[in-house]
Amino acid sequence: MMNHKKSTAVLMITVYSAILLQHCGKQPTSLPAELTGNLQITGFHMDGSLFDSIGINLDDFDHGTMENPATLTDLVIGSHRIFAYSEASSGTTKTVEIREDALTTIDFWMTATGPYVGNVAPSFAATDVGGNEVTSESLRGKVVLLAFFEHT
Amino acid sequence: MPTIHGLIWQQLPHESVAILAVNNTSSTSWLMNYSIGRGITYPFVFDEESSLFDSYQVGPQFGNTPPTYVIIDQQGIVQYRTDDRFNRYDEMKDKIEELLE
Repeated sequence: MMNHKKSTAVLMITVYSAILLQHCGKQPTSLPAELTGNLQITGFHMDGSLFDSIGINLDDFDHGTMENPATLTDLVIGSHRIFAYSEASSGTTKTVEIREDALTTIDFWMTATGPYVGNVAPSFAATDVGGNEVTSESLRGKVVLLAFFEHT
Repeated sequence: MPTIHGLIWQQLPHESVAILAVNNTSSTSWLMNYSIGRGITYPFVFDEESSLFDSYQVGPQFGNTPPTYVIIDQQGIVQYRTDDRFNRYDEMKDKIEELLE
């Protein structure tokens, strides 16, 4: 019984000593600051004109809508995934490399939503005569012919 | 619409092409009789509140008169539109086939 208690105490002292020793070693006074850079994002219409505002999603964090061109500062250097969107346009994803203390620029050409050739088709949801819902989303991947006609 | 059924719908693979006839009538029975009576198998949709007509800018207030045809590609981009009242069935079929290539 005595021997067991004694050996437990010895073991505990050994463990604590090991922990203490580990933490008494020389530690850096502060962690090295993360290297950062800045990013400027510009959203263009297909004709080269600028969107008024642009929505930015960086590495799955949504920054919301910002004035176009938008600038993000103090981004950690390295590769980032950026998704730019606009209320009136489709979104696009690109990968951008941020360099130390540098301003990286990235341009997005975005197609406006509209019903004419070259536009992103407006999304829709409707019910067919059989009571089934048909949505633009459910037809994605197919060529779709919309035939508008009036009650004659 | 029967012409579209015979000249386009029946000529093309249904797994990669969709046709949607859009009508803004509030008479659902009329639309059902129209499509079923003519044996049309692609979907007819009601657009009672004209939300599709409006978002696709179809109607006299937009300076055109139906029928209006819009072809959208696999990525959701408008590739063709005609609203000049001519029924350009061959042209539309060619356009769809070109997009399927």
